[in-house]
Amino acid sequence: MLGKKTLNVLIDERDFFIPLVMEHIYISSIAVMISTMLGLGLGVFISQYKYFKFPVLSLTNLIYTIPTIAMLGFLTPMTGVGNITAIIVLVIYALLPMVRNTYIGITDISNDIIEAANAMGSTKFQLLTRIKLPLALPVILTGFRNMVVMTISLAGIASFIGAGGLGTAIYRGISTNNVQVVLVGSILIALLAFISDQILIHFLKLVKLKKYLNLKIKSSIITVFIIFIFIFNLAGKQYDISIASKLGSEQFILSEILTILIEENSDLKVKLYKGVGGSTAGIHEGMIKGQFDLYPEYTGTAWLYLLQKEYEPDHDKLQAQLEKIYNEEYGIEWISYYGFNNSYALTVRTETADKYNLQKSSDVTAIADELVFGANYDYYERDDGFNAMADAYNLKFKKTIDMEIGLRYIALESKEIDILPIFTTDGEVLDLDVKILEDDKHFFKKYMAGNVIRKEILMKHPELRDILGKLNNTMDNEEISKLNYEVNIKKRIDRDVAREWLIKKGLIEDKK
Amino acid sequence: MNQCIRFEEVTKYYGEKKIVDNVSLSIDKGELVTVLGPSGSGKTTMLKMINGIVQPDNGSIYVYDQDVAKCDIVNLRRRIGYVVQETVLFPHLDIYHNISYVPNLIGISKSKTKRRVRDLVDMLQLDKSMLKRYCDELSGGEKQRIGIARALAASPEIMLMDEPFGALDPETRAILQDELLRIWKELHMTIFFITHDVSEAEKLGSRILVMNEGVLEDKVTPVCVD
Ligand SMILES: Nc1ncnc2c1ncn2[C@@H]1O[C@H](COP(=O)(O)OP(=O)(O)OP(=O)(O)O)[C@@H](O)[C@H]1O
Ligand SMILES: [Mg+2]
Repeated sequence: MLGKKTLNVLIDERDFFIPLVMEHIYISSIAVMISTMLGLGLGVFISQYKYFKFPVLSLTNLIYTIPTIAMLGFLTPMTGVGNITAIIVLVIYALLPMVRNTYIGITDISNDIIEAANAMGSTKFQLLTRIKLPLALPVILTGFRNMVVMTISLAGIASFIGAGGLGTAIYRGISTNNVQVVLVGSILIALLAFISDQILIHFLKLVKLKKYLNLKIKSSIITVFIIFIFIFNLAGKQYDISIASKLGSEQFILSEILTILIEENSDLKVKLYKGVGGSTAGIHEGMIKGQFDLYPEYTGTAWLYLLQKEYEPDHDKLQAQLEKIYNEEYGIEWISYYGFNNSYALTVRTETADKYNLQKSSDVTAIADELVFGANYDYYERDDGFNAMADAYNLKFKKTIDMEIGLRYIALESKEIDILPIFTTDGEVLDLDVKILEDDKHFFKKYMAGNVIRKEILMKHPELRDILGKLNNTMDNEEISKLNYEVNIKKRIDRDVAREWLIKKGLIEDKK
Repeated sequence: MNQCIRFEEVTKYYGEKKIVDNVSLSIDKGELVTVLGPSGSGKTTMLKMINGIVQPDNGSIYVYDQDVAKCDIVNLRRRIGYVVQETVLFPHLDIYHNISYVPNLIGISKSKTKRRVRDLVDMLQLDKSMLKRYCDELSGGEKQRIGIARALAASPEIMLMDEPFGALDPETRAILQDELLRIWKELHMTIFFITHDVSEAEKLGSRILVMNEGVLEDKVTPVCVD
C-alpha cells in the first residue's frame, strides 16, 4: 500500500500538494501566532491575578474536551465556512496548553528570585519580561511544542469546513476512494508535525543550555521562512471568482472543469473550494453571503432539499420555477445545464435483460416475481423509495433484500440479487456487464446537473455568461459516468480528467 | 541633616506573633550598622521593611526623609543595593548581565555599563573570563562577590546586606569582609548589615545593634573605626 506508488503520487501531483503544504503551514502558523499571544496573555494574566485562575483554566480545559466535530458544527453556523472558522477552532484548542504552561512556568519560579528582582527595583513589567517570562521559557516552550504539533495535525480537519491545507488532500482522497492521495496527505501532515517538533525540541535544548544567541538566530531564520510562506499564500489569495464544490468525484470533476474553463478562457483568477463541509446547505449559504460565486448543483436537490418544495413531475415546469425563485430570492442564476441526470435507474445484468428482453422499467412488471430486488436499507424507508417505485411500476418481486450500499454491485454480480436501483452517473457501472433500464414512467425524480452563479459576479464579469454557456448539453449520463470511473476506479486526479474532457470537447486548447 | 534611614515606632506582626516590636531607630549617612541577634528575632524582617518588601503594621520607615510606604518604591529600590545570604543570581542571565541588571533597568548606556562592570570586576578581584558564565558554574565565594558587585552596580548610596558572608569558609569570609570595609570607605555608603557572628559584627560595624524578640537595642559603639 505504502511505498513506490505513494511516492509516485506525491511526485506526479506535486503541483497539487506543494500549495497545500504551504497553505497548511500558513493556516497553522496564523493559528499558532494568535494562540501564542492569547495563551501567553491569559497565562500571564492569571498568574498575576490568581482570582481568575480557576475560571480561566476550567474554561479552557472544558473547551479542550469538546469533540472537534461538535465544535465545527457549533461554529460554522456563526462564522461560516472557510479559513477563518478553521483558525478559530485551532486557536480554541491551542489555548489550553499555552495558558496552562505559561501559568505553571511563571508560578513555579522560586520566590527568592522574584523577591531579589523586586528588591532591585524592577517594575512589574520589567519583572515579567526580564525575569518571569525568560525563566518560564522552558515550560512555556514545552507547552508551545505540544500546541504546535496539535495545531498542525488538527489543521488537517480544517478542510472539512472549506478551509485549505493538506486536509483537502485527505478529504478528496476519502471522497473519491483514493487511498494513495489520503496517504500522501496524511504523511505530509505527519511530516510537518514531526519536523516542527524536532525544531522545537532543539530550541528547548538551546534554552536549557542557555545558548540564547543561537536560539535567536535560528528562530529568526524560521520567522523569515514563515513570512515567505505568508507572502506566497497572500499572493495566491488574489482571485476574482470563487468556486465551490460538494463532496464526491462528480462534484470535484465538475468544479475543476469550471475552474479550468474559466481560467483558460479569461483573465480571471479562480479560487476553488473543493468539498465544502456541510455540503449543499453550507455552499448555498455561502453563495447567499457572497463567499462563493459559482458551483455545480442539481435541479432536484435545489428544489426538494434547498427550497423544500413538493416534487413537480414536469421537469421543464420545475426548472422554470426554480430559476425564477433563485433569481428573485437569492440573486442567483442557473446559467448552464450539462445535460446529464444524476438520478436512479433500475438496472439488471445484461444476461437477465437478454433472457427476458428487458428495455424499459415497465418491461419488468410482468416478470418481477422471478427477480430478487436489492437496495440499501434507507431505500425501503424513504417516501419516494421502494414502495412508491413498486406502486408506479406495479412490481412484485420474488424477494427483496436490504444491503450495505457499498456491496450492491458485488451482490448483483454474484447473482445474490437480480435487479437494483443504481445512480445513473456512477462510474462503477462501467465495469459491470449490466443493462440500465429506461425510466419510461418517469418515476425517478430528475436531478439535472447545472451551474449556479451569483448575478453580481456575472454583472462584474459579463464574459462569464458566454464561457459558462459553452457547457450547455455537453455531457450525458454515459460521459459523466466515464469521468467518475476515471477518478473513482482508476484513481486518476480529477483535475487531469477534467482537463482531458475539456480538450476532447474543444472547450480549451490542448497545450501539450 | 545627615539622617539616612529612620524607623519610627515600627511594629510588624505575622499573624498573632509580634515580630518587630515598636522599634525606633535612626541611621546616619555613612554608617555601617551591623545587626546581631538570635535566629527568628526579626532582623531580616527589619531589613526588608527598609526597601519596602515587607510593610509595617504600625509606624513608618523613612529613607532620606521619604516615607517608604508612600514614595516611588521602584525608584527608591534602584538606589538601594541588596545582598542576601546565598545570593540569588538570576539563572537565565550570564554574570555580565547579572551584574548589570539594575543599570539595564534604569537604562544606563551600554558603554557606561560596560565600564562600570569592568571597574566592579577589578574592585572585587573577579576573573574577567567569568562574565560569560552562568551562576551554576560558580563557587559559593564567587557567587557572593558577584552578588555584591550586582548590588553595587548602579552606585547605590545604601546597601542592605543580610548575612552576606554566612555560608562562606572563614578565609574567604575574611577577605570579603576586608573588601567590604574598603569599598564602604571608598564609596561613603550607608550599610545595614545583618550577621550572626559577633566578631564579624564587631569587625565591620561602626555601630552594632542587637535584635531580641523584636526589640532593638544599641550594643556598643566601637570607639573609632578608621
Ligand atoms: N512571610 C512570613 N510569614 C510568616 N512568618 C514569617 C514570615 N517571614 C518571617 N516570619 C517569621 O518572623 C520571625 C522573624 O523572622 P526573620 O526572618 O525576621 O528572623 P531573623 O532574625 O532574620 O532570623 P535568622 O537569623 O534566622 O535569619 C520568624 O519567626 C519567622 O518565622
Ligand atoms: Mg534572617
